[in-house]
Amino acid sequence: MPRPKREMVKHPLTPSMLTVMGDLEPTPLVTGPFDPESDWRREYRVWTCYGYRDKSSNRSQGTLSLTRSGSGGKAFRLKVDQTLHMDPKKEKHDHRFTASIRCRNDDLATPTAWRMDSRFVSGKEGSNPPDMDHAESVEVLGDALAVTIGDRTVTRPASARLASEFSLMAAVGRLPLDSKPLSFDLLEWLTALKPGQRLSYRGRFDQQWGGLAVTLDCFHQLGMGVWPYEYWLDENSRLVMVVTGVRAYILESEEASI
Amino acid sequence: MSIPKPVTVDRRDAIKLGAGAVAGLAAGLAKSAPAIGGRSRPNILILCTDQQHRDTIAADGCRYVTTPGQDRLAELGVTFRAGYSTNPICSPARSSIFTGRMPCETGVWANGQGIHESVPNIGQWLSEQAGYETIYTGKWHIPASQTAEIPGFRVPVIGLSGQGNLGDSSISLGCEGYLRNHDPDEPFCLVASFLQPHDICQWLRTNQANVDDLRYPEIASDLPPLPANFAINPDEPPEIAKRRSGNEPTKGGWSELHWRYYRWCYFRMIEQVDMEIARVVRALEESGQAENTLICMVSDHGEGLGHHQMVRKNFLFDEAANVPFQLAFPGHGRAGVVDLTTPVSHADIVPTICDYVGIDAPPHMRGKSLRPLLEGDSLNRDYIVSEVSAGPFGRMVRTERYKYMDYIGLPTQEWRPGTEQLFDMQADPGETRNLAASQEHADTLGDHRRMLAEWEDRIVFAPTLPEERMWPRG
Repeated sequence: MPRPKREMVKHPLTPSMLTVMGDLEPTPLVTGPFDPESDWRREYRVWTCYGYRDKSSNRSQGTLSLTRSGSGGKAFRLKVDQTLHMDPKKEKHDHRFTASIRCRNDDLATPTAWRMDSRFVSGKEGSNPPDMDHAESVEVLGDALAVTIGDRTVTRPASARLASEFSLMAAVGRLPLDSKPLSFDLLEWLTALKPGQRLSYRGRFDQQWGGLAVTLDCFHQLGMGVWPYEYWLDENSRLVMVVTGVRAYILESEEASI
Repeated sequence: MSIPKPVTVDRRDAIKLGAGAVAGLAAGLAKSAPAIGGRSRPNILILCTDQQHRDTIAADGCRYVTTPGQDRLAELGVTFRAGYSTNPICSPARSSIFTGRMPCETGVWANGQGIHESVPNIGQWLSEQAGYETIYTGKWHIPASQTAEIPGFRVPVIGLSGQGNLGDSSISLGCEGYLRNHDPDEPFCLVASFLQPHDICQWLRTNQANVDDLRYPEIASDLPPLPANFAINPDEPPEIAKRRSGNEPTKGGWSELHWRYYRWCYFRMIEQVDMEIARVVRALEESGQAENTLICMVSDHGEGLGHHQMVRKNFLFDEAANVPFQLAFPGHGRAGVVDLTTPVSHADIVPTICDYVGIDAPPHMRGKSLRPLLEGDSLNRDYIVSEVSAGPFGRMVRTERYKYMDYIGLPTQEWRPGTEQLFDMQADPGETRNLAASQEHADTLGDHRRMLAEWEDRIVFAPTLPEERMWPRG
């Protein structure tokens, strides 16, 4: 039987486009007062799109949990817990990435030290192929990283203006809307250096979130090795959605002042 | 049994290998496998990208990308500029990469088909014949894209179907873990099969609508130009025109600006996958195993990227058929070398691996070991052949100078004589002037027709290959 013709998305993804596609209905907009300088915990749904409007090929691939704590001083701690379902249709095969990052309390929430763990968990019993695990502890030393893996430490180049995609999600809500574009190097997954990034305020846009009309501010990030990121913030500077290409992080829940 | 090749080692290699290993090689021990430390068999690392256009590596002259991973591979080994997909769509090409046979022999003539059970893959061959630990991560697509079961391989399910932008990092992190945790005394064959830059297909679907204003005006000065062969070839086969008419640029009525923005976005995807390659290569080097490891980096097929106003693949112009192809055996082969002219093919990968491992290749290999080229010798080869069989039905013969293509209609479609093309790849690398009708090139055309006929006579069609997909003989 011929496959029914599917309608292409045709336009870049935005909250309004996800609304049209029916992919925001399970997630009501988190609202209310919010202080981006405070301690908080947020959970985002990791959603991906195959380029068609129907739901058959667009799916939630997992969750990203971010916890900011120790706010108030020159630094804070950001905990990252991301689980990606490698094959959502079949038996459980998950990639779990966790990190604890010490961030400077500056415009980029610059990471200064962290530990990351990458693990793969398979099957109903949650068995783990341990030979695929990887963990690093890292200290930023000026324009270099001291990376400890097991009992060995190596030095890798870094830069003085460093950010990670996770710490940026904690930083962008604290940026003034009239701030000049920020230049930095991205340390993706805290392990892959992508230089030449630029984060700029894009503007204020009327959008649809499910059935709700909202006004959102948007920053965008361009640079080497990334599909442009678009960070969508509500009127309280709460990061409600991040879109990069055909992937979106959609805010599902929040605990403020934890 | 194949005849063991003479092993040559230069002074530098002799120092690295040590006297015992050199003596072993000289005595012909371990067949032709180079001695590596205390064992004779090298690790194998296969890095596969998906839909990577050939001209996308900075070290190879591409000015629109930053690619430290593939640049590093170029430093470590040989880059083949005339590397070809056996069939420029996913499943057929992959069936050749992992078996050394042509897609019409594996039975994988279109996407979503499995390799015929009579044809062993490299995982089965290395584990059974040489006791290798064989690990497969990422996209398989023969038939399933993501699967937990591939004959001959342990498959930790890693990667996301259709989402290279996210799943490829899981693949490289898993491979990094494996390379750092692996017992260095046991040889492995590790496949890291990345999905990027295949996400350009999703980009096309989410950017089909033409936009006259850039979404990000600040990149205006960074947009790459249109390719020199952007114009439509007036002699192109009707199959190509048909493919173009169904694609997003035609439907969306793209402006030049939108075409250039598409190219800019594609190059960012190249950088994405390159960083994953860089992560794996860095782990290999930091774990001290680089000089024990034969590295093969290849894409399954290319991407239109605006050449001949095409996007995607599944035709035989170079933008789809010619692929990035790098081989490196650090410390044991030539390094930093670019081979501009020797035609090589996916079908060469399995014979090359078997040569280095020191075992016979499976029967009916259609390619050759590229080891002589890594070691500074020449390859006794006149041509390679590629196929297209899902939609367009055609064959390509590539010699050092010329490229011949013949598309014919399927018996189930309107049968008609073939549409032939002949290009002088030295004078016209963009394939813009079809010489098939040129009297001056009649002999060249005849030679290439004969090569194709000779090649096809040797082919053993898979029992499952539909009759209408069998290239006519005689």
